[in-house]
Amino acid sequence: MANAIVQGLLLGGLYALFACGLSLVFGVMRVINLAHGDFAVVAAYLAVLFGGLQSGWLVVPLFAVAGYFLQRTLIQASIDRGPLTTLLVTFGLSVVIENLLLQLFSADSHSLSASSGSIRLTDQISVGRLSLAIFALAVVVLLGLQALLSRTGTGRLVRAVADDPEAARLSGVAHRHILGLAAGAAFATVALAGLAFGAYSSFAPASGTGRLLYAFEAVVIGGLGSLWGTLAGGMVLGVAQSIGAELNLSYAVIAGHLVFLAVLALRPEGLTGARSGAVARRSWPSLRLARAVRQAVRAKARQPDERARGRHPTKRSWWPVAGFVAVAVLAYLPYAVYSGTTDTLVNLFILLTLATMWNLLAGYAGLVSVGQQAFVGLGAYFTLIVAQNGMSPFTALPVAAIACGVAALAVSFLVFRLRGGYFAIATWVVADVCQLAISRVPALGGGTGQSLPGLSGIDPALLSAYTYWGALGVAALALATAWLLLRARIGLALRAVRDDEIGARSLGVRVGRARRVVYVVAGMGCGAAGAVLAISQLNVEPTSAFSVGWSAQMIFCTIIGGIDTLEGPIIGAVLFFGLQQALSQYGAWYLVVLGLIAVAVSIWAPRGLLKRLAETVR
Amino acid sequence: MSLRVEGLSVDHGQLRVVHEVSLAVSPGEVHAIIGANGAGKSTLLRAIAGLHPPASGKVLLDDVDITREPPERRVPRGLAMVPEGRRLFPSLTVRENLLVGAHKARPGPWTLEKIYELFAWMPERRDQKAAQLSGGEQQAVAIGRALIANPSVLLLDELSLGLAPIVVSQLYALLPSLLRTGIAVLLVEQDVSQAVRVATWVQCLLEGRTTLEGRPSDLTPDQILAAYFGLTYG
Ligand SMILES: Nc1ncnc2c1ncn2[C@@H]1O[C@H](COP(=O)(O)OP(=O)(O)OP(=O)(O)O)[C@@H](O)[C@H]1O
Ligand SMILES: [Mg+2]
Repeated sequence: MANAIVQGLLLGGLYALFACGLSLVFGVMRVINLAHGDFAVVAAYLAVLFGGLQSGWLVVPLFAVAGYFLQRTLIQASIDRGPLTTLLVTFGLSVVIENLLLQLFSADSHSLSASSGSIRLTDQISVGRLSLAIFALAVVVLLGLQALLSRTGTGRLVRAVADDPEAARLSGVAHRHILGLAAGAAFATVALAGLAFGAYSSFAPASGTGRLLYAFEAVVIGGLGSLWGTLAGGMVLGVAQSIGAELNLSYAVIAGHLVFLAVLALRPEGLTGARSGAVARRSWPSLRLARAVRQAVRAKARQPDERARGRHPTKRSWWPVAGFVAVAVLAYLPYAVYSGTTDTLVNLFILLTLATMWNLLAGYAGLVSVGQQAFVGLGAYFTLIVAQNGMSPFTALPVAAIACGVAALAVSFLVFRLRGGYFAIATWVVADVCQLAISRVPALGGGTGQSLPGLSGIDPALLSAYTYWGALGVAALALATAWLLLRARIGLALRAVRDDEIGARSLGVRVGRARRVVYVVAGMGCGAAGAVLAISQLNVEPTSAFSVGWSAQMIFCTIIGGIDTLEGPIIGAVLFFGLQQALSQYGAWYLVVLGLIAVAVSIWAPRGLLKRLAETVR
Repeated sequence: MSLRVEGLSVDHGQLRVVHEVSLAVSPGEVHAIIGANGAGKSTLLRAIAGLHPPASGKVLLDDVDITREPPERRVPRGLAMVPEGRRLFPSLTVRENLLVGAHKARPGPWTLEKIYELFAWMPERRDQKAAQLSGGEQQAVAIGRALIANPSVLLLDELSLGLAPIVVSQLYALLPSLLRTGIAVLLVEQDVSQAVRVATWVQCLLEGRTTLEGRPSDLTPDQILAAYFGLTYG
């Protein structure tokens, strides 16, 4: 046990090293880099390519330079367009990087060999030289960053730009250059962390996600915006993981997640948060207020007819009619076409449901979740449970939806304690917890999954038609719910909040409640989609049911179709579906291309591809 | 001639907020722009400082056209602004705020020591965070942060915002000593009597248009009142 604690404390150094780049980028640019973990993995692969750890002297400066230029181009462009865009762009980058690595290096894991050996402290406790070296490196890096920020002229300018970029420009500060330098420093630490991680354990293209979550957990446990808090947070996380591993090797990650969720529930300001949290709170309102006021004024300046056309679905009376006609026509399809076609359409309907839900979340309620796969997976597993108990899986559709709604309600009390990008990653952690927990239940097939009982007796053609109708029904209900929700008072409240949160709050709009309702509805929708998924695949498997790919797809559909319009996700799902069919033979390249398209669209066509095309033609 | 603005129009989105405003300020002069809330005074100043690209018109500093230059490049040319609401860097200390202002400073009379002389309370509290200062103290730091760049033209946006009258008079009492160094001052003020007292030239904006201008001694209170609120004599 004592040994586990010591190992955990040392591991905390690695996590802190890994988290400080995330913390720096957030502190200065207010950007949560969702590709943070993937960049670290890239650094490790570069080291493999250049012949091992000793190539660090090349990789780290390379990353610093790359960070500078990435900030000056892509990241700055997305900052200029708003917080949502930065999340979408970095998430898109994460998808691109992961699949590019997969394509170039295959899914096999690699490792960087480092000198091993350990030092015995007592009979029970011995520490690895490598762990010790990484811990020392982390402390040196943290001290260096601290000194750079507080003692140098450039560090002062970085802090000034972080406080108020406009005022800094009025003092002659070339703010973009300064942000580029800060990003360069952050990327250098990312490279160091990637190399350290690569020396510590093996890595594969998909490792980035897990590492992002660890970094994020270290930051939140330690308290936002405090470098030394991050070290403390990393140590808590490290100890939790190594004690978990002591019990059972497979409990390591989940133990870390649980400690994180516990901290979030009990002490959302983090362990060191009392002081740093207060500082953050003092400097935040003015910034947030300024932003809200700017947005409100901008919204007012927008052409009134554009608002009426694009943003008020309530004014459209043809929606229900068009909907009924479309559903009637589509419902007839199984009588008219081969089941191959309807089976393909089932996937489209799943996508449509998911995209509609994500659009409600991010487009209307401002809740950028990248963890909706939690509810897709739970929906699939609730279906499995229902089927295992001898009922028809189709009766599971409403059961899964309701159960996921309840789960979403419970989860909301945790994740709603965080805002913006931190909310995004917290939802991701929850999804990871669900996956890890369910993989431990042998009755549900454990890590390999299980096939869905109760469907083998049905005639295949009939089953295919039932599945199709189920999927169609779920998609139609999802759209109808979205439409009704936006017509109701809550829709008005959400629009008011989106235009001017502070103003809306002061007028008595219950922002939290409106958001919670949307979150629960989205959980239900995704759960129902997960149930359809389980039925259509006849099989439930944890890694695919809880894949972050679901979130990537719903985000992608919403973005290319046009966020915060009802028809956006429909257009987006159809476009995405076409792309998927066209590119599917290219393996992982297809996700690379989709990720690049998503990044490009969020920057150059933030209101959707069709709108953008229409504008150019006009 | 230090600062010249010719036919400047500025838009906020679809809305034109400043309409073809022209003005000129020379060293030793105090040019005051007055007007009601929303008249476009701050927008005009922000456009002159470079924070807001104008729709049309020109900004010339010492006869060099700087209309398309970003604000950070105007500072080394000698244009500095004290923005509306002070906008200090709250997590930086007083001294650090001043040092940020100094980092692209031109050679000139103002140094850290001179700013500390100008505001005698400052040296003692230089290591305090700007967020902990009172409104008047913050305004003083904001002025110091702009002065230390040794501008030839100083833009001041509503020094009096949220401050007690006595503090406001103290701040305005500094103007003569600034002018003696050969600076030109362009200021925005809602408090008309204050503006008329310190200015060498008054220009009144109404809904983004100049409705009246002249030497304060040549303008009657009634004229100013009418121009300020857009009243016409029946
Ligand atoms: N960021 C912005 N976006 C859109 N409109 C704006 C913005 N800032 C100001 N406006 C509008 O421009 C007009 C002029 O505003 P400005 O701030 O220049 O007025 P002002 O004369 O400085 O007023 P005050 O005395 O209240 O400071 C106002 O109608 C205001 O609503
Ligand atoms: Mg103003």
